[in-house]
Amino acid sequence: MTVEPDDCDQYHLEAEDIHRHFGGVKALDGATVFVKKNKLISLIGPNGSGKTTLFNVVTCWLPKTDPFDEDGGKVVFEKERIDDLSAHEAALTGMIRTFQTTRNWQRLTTLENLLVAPPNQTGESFLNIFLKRKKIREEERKNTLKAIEVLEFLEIMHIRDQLAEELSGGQLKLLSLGRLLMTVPSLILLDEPMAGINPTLGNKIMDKILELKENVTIFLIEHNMDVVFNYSDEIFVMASGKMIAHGTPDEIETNRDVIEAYLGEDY
Amino acid sequence: MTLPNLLNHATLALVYAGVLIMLTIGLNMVYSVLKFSNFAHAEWVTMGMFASWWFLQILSYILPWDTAHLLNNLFVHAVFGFLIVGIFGILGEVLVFDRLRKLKAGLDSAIVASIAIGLIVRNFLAMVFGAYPEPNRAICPTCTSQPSLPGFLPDLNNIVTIKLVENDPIFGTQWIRINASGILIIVTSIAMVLAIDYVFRHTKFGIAMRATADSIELAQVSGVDTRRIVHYTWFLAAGLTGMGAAIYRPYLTGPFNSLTGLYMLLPFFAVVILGGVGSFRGGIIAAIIIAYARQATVVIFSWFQYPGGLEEILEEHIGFTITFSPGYADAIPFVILIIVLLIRPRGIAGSVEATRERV
Amino acid sequence: MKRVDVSRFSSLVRKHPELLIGLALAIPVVLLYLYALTTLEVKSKLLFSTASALLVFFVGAISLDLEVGSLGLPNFGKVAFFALGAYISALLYSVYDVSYLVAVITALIISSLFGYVLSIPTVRLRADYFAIMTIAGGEFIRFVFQNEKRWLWAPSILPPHTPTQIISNRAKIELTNISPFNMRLGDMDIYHVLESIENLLRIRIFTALDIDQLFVWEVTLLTVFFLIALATYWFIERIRRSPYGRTLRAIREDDITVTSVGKDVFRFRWQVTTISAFICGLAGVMYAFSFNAFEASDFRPELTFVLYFYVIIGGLGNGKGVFVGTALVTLFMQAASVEAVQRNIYMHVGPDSPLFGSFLEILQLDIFINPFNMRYVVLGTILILFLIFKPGGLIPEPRTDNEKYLSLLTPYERARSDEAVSARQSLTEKERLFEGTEDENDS
Repeated sequence: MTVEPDDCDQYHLEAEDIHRHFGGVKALDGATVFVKKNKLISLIGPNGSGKTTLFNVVTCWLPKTDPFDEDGGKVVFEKERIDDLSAHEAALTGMIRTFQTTRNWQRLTTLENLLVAPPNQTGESFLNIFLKRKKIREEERKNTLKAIEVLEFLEIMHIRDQLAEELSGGQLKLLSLGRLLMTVPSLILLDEPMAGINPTLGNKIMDKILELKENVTIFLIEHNMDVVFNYSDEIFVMASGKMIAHGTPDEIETNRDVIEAYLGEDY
Repeated sequence: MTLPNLLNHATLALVYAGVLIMLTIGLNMVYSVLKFSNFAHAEWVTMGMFASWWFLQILSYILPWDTAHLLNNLFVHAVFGFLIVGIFGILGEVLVFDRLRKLKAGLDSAIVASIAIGLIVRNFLAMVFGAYPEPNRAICPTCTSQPSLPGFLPDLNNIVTIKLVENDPIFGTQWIRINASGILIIVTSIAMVLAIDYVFRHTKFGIAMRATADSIELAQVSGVDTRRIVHYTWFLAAGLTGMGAAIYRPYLTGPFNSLTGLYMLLPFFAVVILGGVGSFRGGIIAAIIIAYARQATVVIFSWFQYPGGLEEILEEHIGFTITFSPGYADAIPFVILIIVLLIRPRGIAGSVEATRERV
Repeated sequence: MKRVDVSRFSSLVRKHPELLIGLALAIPVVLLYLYALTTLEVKSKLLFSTASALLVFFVGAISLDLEVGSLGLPNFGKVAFFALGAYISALLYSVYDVSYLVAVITALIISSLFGYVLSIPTVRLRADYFAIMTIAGGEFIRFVFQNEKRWLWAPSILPPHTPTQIISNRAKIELTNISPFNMRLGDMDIYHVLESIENLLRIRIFTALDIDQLFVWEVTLLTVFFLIALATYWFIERIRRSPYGRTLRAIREDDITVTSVGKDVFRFRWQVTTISAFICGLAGVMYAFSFNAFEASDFRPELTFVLYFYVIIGGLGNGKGVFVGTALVTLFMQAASVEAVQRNIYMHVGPDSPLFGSFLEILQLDIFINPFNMRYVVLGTILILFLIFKPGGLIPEPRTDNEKYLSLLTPYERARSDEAVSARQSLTEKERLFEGTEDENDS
């Protein structure tokens, strides 16, 4: 089943007919995704169906095909093609992702973890360290204020002075979410934000994510079906590198293909 | 203009390739199973040379001279080299690398540690055996100049010369000249690769080793005693290197010293990276490429330096030239490494990507 | 008499356990050094060589520490930049008759350029491949210096002036011969100032150390070196404290996350490699003043390894640690190079030794223990012990402090944030449990 766009203008991110092969394995075989602005879109599918690979390709972490294969599809973000960008350039367009395993800067404090994140800081250019000290000070002040706001928003102010290596798994998840907010994203891609943490905290994280939805588009990979069907505006279902279904939670719940993909054809 | 003795150069390169193959098997094994480059490998080579030489001295001292051949020959020395260096390989793992792994120390710590081990061993050997094992320190005066005793083995210094052309106006002199030691190196290196390749592919032990190489945690879960496998890997890797070094030693024309192995460290790494980590057959091709590239540099650069060569032409017509010294042959591994890492970071047939992990 | 407060010392040790290790290393080294000093006739000779080696290697080590400690790139080719700095500055000045300032600047530019060129293909590599490539790069520079006889060799001083690999460092030779510099400090007026200080303090320290025997050029050189070292230290600490340095530390911890927030990790890596190459080139220019003449084979990979002794024993990621490490190892190396000390280390254990003679004869062993090899064995062992038992070094990288950022806020903003922190910390254990379970690590 292919998904056809009905109105191009309202799409924030379009990834059309993406191919990606690893050696002979087709991880993505013509996957197509359309993400509407300021919605929460979920991507579900069985393990190994290519969800994370799709994230990696969309955010330019992986080239879309092997170098030997010609056309691997196209990725359009805010009406501009971004396929040829490198990963950090793609991130600068306002499309920020998290990773399945929490990755943090272990020997930096929580506050510093947030302060590293803002893109294009004046103090990150080598010459500016020596030339524009005043501007750096101002910017650091601004960023610190913002970081404190983020800490308040995520209710993790109490770990402000702790090193990331001293935090628990759930706190680290919140911290990666906070780092993402420091970058002023317009689209955030979350790769299993609730994996490996307890349900109470998972709900807290989900609440925070929903609060963000006013300004930011959210694209989510998640295995927790309660969360996906309760909160999503739209759901994409992947199986073996292809999109097999797309629709509102109600439509997906009754879709035969999805049930087959998850539970096998005999079910 | 007559050609240089290309055939002779080709023979020299072939033996050098054999040496590289023989001495990089251990490096490749450690690299593929433990995923880190062991910079102390060079010292295993040196240690293997010294150990076999030392055993030769001991045997020559203990055994009556003319009945010694059965016990006092190159193969016995090589086995001794295998044992000594193998034990040192395990010692390094138990005393240093195992602890570092338990500390979850990064790759950099392991690299620094292996370099430090190399430094310790190198200087220790220099103290124990002196900078040069000089022939006059040996009890049997002919031992070092004639490493194999006559009788049991064909004399390793026996030279085979096949002359194809002599004093031809165009082809110059072309001959193949190789001594028994050189032939032994080539034969042993191929035999070693085939044996190790067989062990890796077809024996239970080799399969356990490959499982450990893929993922230590997974192998542990599937019931492989990874600790034992790691120890065997070190023993076998170090031992084979020591044995190879013992077989290489008689081929050396000059005296060797505690730095002999260190000088070969870069070619070793070039072979493993070009051939591909974990691929012993790739190593053969890589060793041949590197050995021939090196020898070709020697031939071509010295040809440039002849009267009427490129150096003179450049000087005359452009007024600027650099020195095409055959000494640049030592830089060949560096050039090859750069090219490989830019074009194909996995090497010819490797499984480990040289670039940092992505995502 | 001042009473030594033992309890204060013991509480200090409890707080900083590395202090004990530091003392355990420092006391024997300092004693050995003092012993070495007493055996010398002119003590200031050793003082000068120690101080100059310390300053030169401090600059080199701190440039390495910027790469390894702050960015996590184990560069093993530092010797290349030492060689480029030393060789090119000396060569341009002595053979090509360029003015010394231009020679030094050219050397530094070439050194940084080589750092840049080498970084392009290598900084994307895994740590061990990076290490191999940098070792190879360092050796490559040595091969070039050894082989390029047309341009990089100098005509020998003796006729028939054929080119040789040995470069005599004319800058140093001239410095030691120009008029005010070739005088001894004791002959200068300024020495009276030192004497009066001595009289004032009633400790004859300058006389005891034969300071009057120092040449003026030695004092000048040390002053210049000291200023360079200070400036380098300031420069690198400045980088470390800036947002730039913060990002470097983030890259060291996890480069993928840094990329994911839109930063060009590659740019940071090549920039740091180039800056570090520049500073190391400067150390090379300084290093050239240790010799009247040198050749390419002086620049072997061992020189790089020695830098690793400094940074790992001292402590990665902070200038103070590097200084302590450099000071300790340099004192040891310098003391071990004194003849009287060496004489005590030389030992010959062979078949003719009284104790195990016959045993050693069967084993055919003839062991020469000598200081040159022994010091590497000792240092290598200490390095490995540090890696295993004290990976942070004697002075570990200080835990990062948020004070720097919080002090930028207005008192009101700050108080609000601090309140939230302390309010949470003052919750009782029960309240904390009640509030949520996120403090449990359940991943």
